[in-house]
Amino acid sequence: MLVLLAGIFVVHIATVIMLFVSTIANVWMVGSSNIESVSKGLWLLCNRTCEQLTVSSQEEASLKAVQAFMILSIIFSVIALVMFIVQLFTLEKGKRFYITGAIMLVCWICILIGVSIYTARFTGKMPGFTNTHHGYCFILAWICFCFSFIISILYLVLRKK
Amino acid sequence: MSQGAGDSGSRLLFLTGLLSALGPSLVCCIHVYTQREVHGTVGSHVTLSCSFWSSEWISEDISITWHFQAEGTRDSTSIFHYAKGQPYIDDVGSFKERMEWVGNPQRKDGSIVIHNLDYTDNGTFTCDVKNPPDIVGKSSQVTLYVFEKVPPRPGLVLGSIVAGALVLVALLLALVYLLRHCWLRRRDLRQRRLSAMEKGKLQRSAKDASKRSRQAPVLYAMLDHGRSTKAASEKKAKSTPGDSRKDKK
Repeated sequence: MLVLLAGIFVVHIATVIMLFVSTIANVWMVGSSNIESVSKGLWLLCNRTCEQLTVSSQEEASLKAVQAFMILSIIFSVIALVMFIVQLFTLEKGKRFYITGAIMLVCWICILIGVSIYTARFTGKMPGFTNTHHGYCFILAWICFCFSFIISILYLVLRKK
Repeated sequence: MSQGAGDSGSRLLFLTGLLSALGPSLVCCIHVYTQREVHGTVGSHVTLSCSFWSSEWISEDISITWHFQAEGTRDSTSIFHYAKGQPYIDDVGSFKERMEWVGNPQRKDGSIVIHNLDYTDNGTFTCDVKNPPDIVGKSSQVTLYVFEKVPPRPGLVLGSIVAGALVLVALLLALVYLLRHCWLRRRDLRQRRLSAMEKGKLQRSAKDASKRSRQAPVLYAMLDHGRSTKAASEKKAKSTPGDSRKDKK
């Protein structure tokens, strides 16, 4: 049981780190031309130098929403980590990690909404570049989505020994 | 001897150097301060503030001048002049009837207000103050940007969304805890009432049972009591003649 708890803790920390990387690095969509490659993310568009991401006024609200939900997911996952450690020491024997599981579930919903909006609105061809494909940040975000769901269910099921 | 003289000479040189470095900063320069950038919306008014610091007393000869350099051009025109206690506002140029003098040289303030902004007002405004005999100093520039509507500060929208979501979650949690607390209290109350009723029933049945059973032990106790007193009095009669014990009984 202790091994399982330690494993879940490690996966939780990995999720937090991956969320940080995915939100901060600007490699959600990657395109390449015959001269150079360009990557764009939630905040910047990086060619040889990085500059502010410009979006049309219809897509501005969606971009702001994606940014907000990714930041919220980071906040909730860190709070869940702290609550897990607190509950580890204060919970009575035989009880479940309800609070941690609930917070992790909220984090899962935030990631779901954020990444869904991005997938629906911003995956498309980048003008002027061929071979547009998803970058590693996008993939990391979906991996975090799966991990956070599994972790939250395990927290809700696990009992403290 | 010569070394001593050399030493004192170098010391004197050092002191003069120090004084010459400090000296000008003490009596130099008039310092003019303005904002760097000012944002305004079309049709509204904006205040271009200019404050200065002078090492001399503010005299009657103080002069304040505002120049304007339109965006994209290289020449600047004079649009405002204050001299000998009298403000002179531009009444032929592009700021005709739009400018207002709100400064007070005695309070070290040389600000002007421009009403009814237009896109042609985009550009750089320069504030220049001269307070004889304090006339050396840099003037200060402020750039005016005219927008259709003022752009929100970056990050304000994002911050408000995140803060709103967190407040919502906190409120939900508080609601859940309150409901749980109420439900638990009601359950406790119910349990206590139930246990009180049961206790009452038990007590009544126990009382009846004890009533029935108490009488029998009492009889036995009296019998024992009688037997023991008889034995004790016989003993006493044998050993010492004492009536006190009997009286006590």
